[in-house]
Amino acid sequence: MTDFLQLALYLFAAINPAAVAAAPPPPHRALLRSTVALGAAAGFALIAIAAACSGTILDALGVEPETFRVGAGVVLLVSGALTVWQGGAAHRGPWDGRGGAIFPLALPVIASPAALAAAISYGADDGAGRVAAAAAVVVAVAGLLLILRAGRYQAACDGVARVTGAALVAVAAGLIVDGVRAI
Amino acid sequence: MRRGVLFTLSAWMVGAVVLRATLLMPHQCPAVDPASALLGAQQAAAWIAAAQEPEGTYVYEYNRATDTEPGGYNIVRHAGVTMSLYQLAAAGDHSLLPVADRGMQYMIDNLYRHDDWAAFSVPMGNVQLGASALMLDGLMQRRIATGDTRYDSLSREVARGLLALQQPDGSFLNFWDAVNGRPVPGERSKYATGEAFWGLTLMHRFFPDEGWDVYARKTADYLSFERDRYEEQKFPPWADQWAAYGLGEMATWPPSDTNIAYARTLTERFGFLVRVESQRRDNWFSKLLHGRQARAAGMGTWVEGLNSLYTLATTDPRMADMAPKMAERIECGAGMLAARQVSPQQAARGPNPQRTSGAWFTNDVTRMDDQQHALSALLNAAPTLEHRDKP
Repeated sequence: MTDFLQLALYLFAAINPAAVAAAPPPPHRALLRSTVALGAAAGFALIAIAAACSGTILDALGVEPETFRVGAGVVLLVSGALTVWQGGAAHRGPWDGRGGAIFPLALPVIASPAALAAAISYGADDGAGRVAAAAAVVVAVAGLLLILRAGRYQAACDGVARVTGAALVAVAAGLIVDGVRAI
Repeated sequence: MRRGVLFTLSAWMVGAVVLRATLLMPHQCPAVDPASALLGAQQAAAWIAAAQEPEGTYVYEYNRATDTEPGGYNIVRHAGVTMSLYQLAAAGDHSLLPVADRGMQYMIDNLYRHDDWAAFSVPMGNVQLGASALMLDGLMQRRIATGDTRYDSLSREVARGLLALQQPDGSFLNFWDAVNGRPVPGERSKYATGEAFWGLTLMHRFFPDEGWDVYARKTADYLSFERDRYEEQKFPPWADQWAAYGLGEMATWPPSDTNIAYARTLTERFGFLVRVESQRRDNWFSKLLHGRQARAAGMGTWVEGLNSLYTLATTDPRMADMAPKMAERIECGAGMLAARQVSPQQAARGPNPQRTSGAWFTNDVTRMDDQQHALSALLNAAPTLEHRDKP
C-alpha cells in the first residue's frame, strides 16, 4: 500500500463519509447541491488549513509532533468509540439555507474534532500538501454521498459508519503507539 | 447558527483544555551550549572530587535539608563514579585524574582472584558482576585518556573474570560464590549485563587480536534477542544505557541487523523518556498527572544512551535517519540537566557549599551516582551540541 493511500484511508476513517451522509435528519431531505458544495468546500478548507498550520500550531503549543500524535490518537479513539456506539446518527442543527452549509455541515460534521486532530498530526508528519490531497478525495466522497441522499439507506449508512468508527479506533491505537515509540 | 457554532466550539475548547493539561503539556528544553554542558560536567566532577575520602571511596549520599550524610555504600556505584572521572579525562580534562586513580586504587586493593582472573569485590563473599564490569570500563577509559599500558594485564584479568560468569547464550550470571569458588546459578542482572558488554567491546578496541569481540557479539545478540524476555520487561526495551555504550563502541565493526533493530528501539525509548521528562514541572499538579521529575541518575542515563547511539547513527547508515531527532533529544536532556544543577553561586548561599555545588538533588538528597550519570551525559553531549551549532 502506498503512503498516500494509507494516509487517505486514515483520513477516511477520521472524516467518516458514511456518518456525514447520515447527518442530515430524516426524512433525509435532499440538501441543495450548492449547500453540499459550499459545506464540503468549507469543511475541506478547515481541514487543509489545520494541516497547513500544523507546524505553527505545534510550535505555539510547545509540543513535539511525536507527542501530539498521542493527543491526536486520544481524540480519534474517543471519536471512533462514539461512532461505534451511536452509529450514523442525525445531527441536529439549522440545516436549511446556506448557513447550514457552514454549521453543521462543514463544522462539525465534516471538520470534526477527529478530522482536525488527524489533519494537524499527519500534516506535521507527512506534509500539508499530501494531507490536503487525501482529504480532498475523502471530502469529495462524503459530498457525493450527500448529493445522492445515501442517508435514505439508514441501516446501511449506520453499519458502514460504525465499521468506519471501529477502523478509526484501530487507527487511533496505532497513532498512540507510534507517538509513544517515536524518538 | 451562531449559538450552535459557539456551543460546538465551547465543547471542543473544554476537550482541548483537558488534553492540554494532561497529554499535551508543553515541552520545556532549556538552552544549553557545548561550553555550559562541559562546565556542568566539570562541576559535577568537582563535587565527586570534594566527596572523596582518603582511602578512595566517595560520600555516598548527602541530605542538604539536614546537612547530613546518611552513609551506606555500593561498590558498583563506586566503580561507576570512578569510571565517569576517567571519561572526563578521556575527553581531555586531566585535572581530576589523581582523584580517579585513588578511586581505582581502592578497587585494586580489593581484588578477589581465582585461577587467571580478578574481580573487584568488597567485602569478601559473593563477587558481583557489575562492580568488576564497571571497573573494567574505568580501566579502558583510563587507557583512552592516558595511553598508559600499566594496567593492561589487570584489564585482561578483570575481563577474564567477566567471562567466568558469561553463559553460552551471551548472558551473564550476576554473582560468583567466592567461598565455594563457583558461579551462583540462575541469577542475572539487567544492569550488569550491559556494563560487562561495554567492557568487552572496549577490550576489543585495544586488544583487537585477542578475540574479545567474539564474546561481545554473543552478548550483543543476547541483549537484542533475549534479555527483555528473560527479565520479563512489561514495556520493552529496558532503557539500558550500558548496552547503548557497547553498541556505540561497535559502530565500525559493524553491528548485525538484529543489533541495529535493537539499537533503534533503544533510541526510541530514550527519546520518549526525554520527551516525557520535558513535560514535567516541579509543582503538585504536574506531579499528580505526570509523576515527579526524574533524578539526575535516571535522566543522565537517558542522555548517555542517546549520546552513544548518536555515535552509531552518525557512523552506520542503517541508523542515519534517526540522527537529527536524536540530536534534538540530546540537547533537550542536556539542557534540563544543566538547568537543574546547583550552581556554585546557589551553593554558596547554603550551609555546605562543598556538598551542594555541582550536584543534583531530589527531595533534598543527592547520591554520588546522580553526579556520575549527569557528568557522563553532559560531557558526551557537548560534541553533539557543537555539531548542531555548526551551520
